[in-house]
Amino acid sequence: MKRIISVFMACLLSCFLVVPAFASVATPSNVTMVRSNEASSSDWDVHEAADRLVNYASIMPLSSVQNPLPSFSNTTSFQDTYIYIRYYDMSGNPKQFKGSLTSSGAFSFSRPSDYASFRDVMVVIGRYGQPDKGTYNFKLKIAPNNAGTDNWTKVYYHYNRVSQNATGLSIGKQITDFIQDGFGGVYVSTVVDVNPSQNLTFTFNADSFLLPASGTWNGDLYISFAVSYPDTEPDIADPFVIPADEATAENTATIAQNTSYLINGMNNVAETLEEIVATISNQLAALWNQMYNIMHKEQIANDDKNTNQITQNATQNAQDIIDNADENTDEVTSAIEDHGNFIINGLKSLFIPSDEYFKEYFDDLYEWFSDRFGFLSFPLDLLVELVDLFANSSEVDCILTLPSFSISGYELWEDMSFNLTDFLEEYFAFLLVAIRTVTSIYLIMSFVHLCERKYDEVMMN
Amino acid sequence: MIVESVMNLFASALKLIFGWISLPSLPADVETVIDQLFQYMASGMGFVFLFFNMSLVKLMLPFVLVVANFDKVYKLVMYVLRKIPFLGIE
Repeated sequence: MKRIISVFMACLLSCFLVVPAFASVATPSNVTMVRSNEASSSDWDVHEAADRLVNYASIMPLSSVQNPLPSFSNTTSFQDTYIYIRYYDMSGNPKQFKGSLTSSGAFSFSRPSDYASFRDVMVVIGRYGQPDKGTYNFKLKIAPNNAGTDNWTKVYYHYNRVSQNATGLSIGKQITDFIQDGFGGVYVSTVVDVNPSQNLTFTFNADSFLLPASGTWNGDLYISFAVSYPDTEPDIADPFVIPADEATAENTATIAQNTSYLINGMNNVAETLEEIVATISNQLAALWNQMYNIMHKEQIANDDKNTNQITQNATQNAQDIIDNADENTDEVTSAIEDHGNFIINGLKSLFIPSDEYFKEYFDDLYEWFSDRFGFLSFPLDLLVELVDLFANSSEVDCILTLPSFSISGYELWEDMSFNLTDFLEEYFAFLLVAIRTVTSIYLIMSFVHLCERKYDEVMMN
Repeated sequence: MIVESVMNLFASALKLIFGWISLPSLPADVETVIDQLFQYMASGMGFVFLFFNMSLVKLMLPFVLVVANFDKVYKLVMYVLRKIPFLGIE
């Protein structure tokens, strides 16, 4: 039973696929190629199959093109330039994918897997793909190797970002005088105001576009920016080729372009003149400053010299005044000190004798009394010698003297002396220190005992 | 100058008073013996002070003299203080 059902379904599917395929091959231009956004997913497989068959049939060489597009040379290396195909996926969501673009302008697209229907082709020229700021005669040409569409319906160009309307289609400034060859090629010529800070975007809309299901949609892209000279392409300059009305229109456009160039040139000249005037004004101001300095150079030098002289004189005068004040102060101070010292020294010399006076005075009296009193002054001499003996006893060494001894005129030994102090300090210094320490302690204790005894004697009496 | 004058005046007065006295000096032999005695005493003092700290002895000697005569010093001081009426010391 299953086999019978499988064979029946296979036959039915074959009928659905084969019949439209033969129909599209017979009349490819009559096939509906636009996939609406409202297409239901239920009949999607059938339409996709039909599209694939049509795509296979529409890929054909362009050797039979009968309306060739104007030719011109690229003025750009396609740096920062991109080409996109924007489409709807199977769920109806708008998407885009970028094609490969070489530096010679050759582009190529492979069909994305979720591709459902075509929106437009978009060429974006970024800031690095544009020339310097200004007004340019712009040309763009898409020359595909295999036709994607036979009729481009609308062309727009935009500055900066691409705007879109509510239905997702691009909007901008529409170009109505574009040229197409009927086999996918399209040529656009317009005047653009280049501002490198903005992207320049061109979109190409078509009612139907056949993107090959296998292989690529490829071709060449041409872009030209021309500034100051009018377009001299032969298709515009040759009146025998182009119809009169089109020539008139192109002449009008050329005049408009020339007018635009003139206005642009006049603006440039005006800006240049403003810059020149500003430069001349600055130069005159600088020249005036220099002349003023030169004219007043001598006066300024004299003023500086006088100022320096005045400053130097003022400084010198102030220093002189300060020196004089210091000198006067020193003199007054010295005079006061001299007077004070004079008074003090006078009073001192009046009441206090000199240091040598007393010694000379008492020595004189002592000598006089010794001469007068003779032997009576001897006890006084003894007392003085005794005091000297006690006061200088620490400086007197203990010298043991052994007198000489002789019998009957025969001397047994001579007078001998022995310095006990040197001997003990040399060999028994530690013993002397110990003895002196003990005796010092004993003296102090005796003194304390004396103090106690005297206190008792006086106070207890 | 004043003090010097006074002291010179005092010395002149002494010389004027005792100027008429003229006694003979001590015989030389006696002076020699006494000098020899003092020489031996100096040696003895040197021996004694080998065993004493002389600096301490010299320092303590004035205090010992004062303390030993403390009763006399006390009487002298009290005598002076009693002469001062407002102190009221009897």
